[in-house]
Amino acid sequence: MVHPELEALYAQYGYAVYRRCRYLLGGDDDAWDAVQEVFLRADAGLSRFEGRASHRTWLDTIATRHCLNVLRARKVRTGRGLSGPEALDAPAAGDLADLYPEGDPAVVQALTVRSLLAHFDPQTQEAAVCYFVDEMSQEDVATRVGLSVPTLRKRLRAFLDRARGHLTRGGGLS
Amino acid sequence: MSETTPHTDHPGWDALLRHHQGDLPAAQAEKVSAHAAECALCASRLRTLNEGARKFHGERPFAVLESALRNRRDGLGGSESLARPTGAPRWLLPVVLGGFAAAAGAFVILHVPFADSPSAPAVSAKERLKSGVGLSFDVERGGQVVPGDPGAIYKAGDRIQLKYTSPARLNVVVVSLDGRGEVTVFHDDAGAGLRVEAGTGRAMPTSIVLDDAPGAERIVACFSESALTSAAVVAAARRALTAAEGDPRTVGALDLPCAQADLLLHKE
Ligand SMILES: [Zn+2]
Repeated sequence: MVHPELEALYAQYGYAVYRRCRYLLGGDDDAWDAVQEVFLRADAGLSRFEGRASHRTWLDTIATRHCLNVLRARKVRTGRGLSGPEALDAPAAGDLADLYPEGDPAVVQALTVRSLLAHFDPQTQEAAVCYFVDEMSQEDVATRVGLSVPTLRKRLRAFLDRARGHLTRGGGLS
Repeated sequence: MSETTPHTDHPGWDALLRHHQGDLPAAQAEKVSAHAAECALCASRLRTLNEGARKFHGERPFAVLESALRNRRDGLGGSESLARPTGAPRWLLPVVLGGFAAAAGAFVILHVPFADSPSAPAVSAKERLKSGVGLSFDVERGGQVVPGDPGAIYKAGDRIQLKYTSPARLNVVVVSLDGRGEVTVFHDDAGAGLRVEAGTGRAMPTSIVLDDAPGAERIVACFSESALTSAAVVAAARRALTAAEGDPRTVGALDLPCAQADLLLHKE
């Protein structure tokens, strides 16, 4: 038996969770596995869900943190996973192709962000994905990851510095 | 709010996704619709979201998810359903599989009793066994083995040898719960844990090596007379970890008919 609300949550947010996992993990099988993990936790957590965050934010946070953990583990075990800045030179858009319309300039930005994640702490990783990939506002990102806006700006600035001009979304950070 | 990206008038992906999910307030939803009617990029982004969602739910309707979740709970989901020493995100790895990560991190290992758990069922077997089981450890560093000292500081590369105390010949399943929400089974014997003989401070068959990944980790040993499956222990550990909001330090007793002993390992 699953929680009675789980089906509605899956109908509304299942694809967004999958999309997040596909972006971070790169492959369909890994993403689907992560989706199951996220909804398993959601099922266990729903009865205590207090509505302080929206279901959407809650699921997205579970998904993002789970995937970042998977990537860290991948890196530890195999040396792959989050790749180094060398990946900046030739981003391979293949594994994101079905998440973006053809010709969307955000694909390159998304790949750049993913290739840099390994160099930052988990909170900055989450913030960078929300800001550069999801294109959330600084205020929304700060609330999501639990930082003040000035601190968030510093973290994103550090991320930008590392990206050496590859990211276009830097307005208002300096 | 996130209706626009900083340099353009486009709604960002987040706003488009919320629009697609029906989560935007009416006024913002209207703005996004009006914008997408005029903007080829945003229109194609919305189309990509709609088509992607249709495909996803077509291939994986809720019944498929539900069945996958059931299999995970029952331990039938293959390598991904049970925590796996070979693939789990961990800073503890069974020595047979894990390399000694070169790292400077230091760890503190503490004995910390479980938080009270009013939901733990009263089970006679558990009551009978309660006082008789225990979990302790030795540490090997630089070829020297010393008894584990709660509160002492350990380093990445130290080998932790778990030891159990049991009042009878019992089945034991050992899992670790980490700060990343992962649950990993140790000492697994065909999905049903391990048979152990009665004894005090007896070594478990494998040891584990600390690596430099961060986070607190709780090791729990579940002793039972019947063969409790690893899958059941993993499922209960996941529930307990979720109930503790993912913090292994405050995890309560697992909701299982077994006697439990635990250790908390914490990276300073
Ligand atoms: Zn637009």
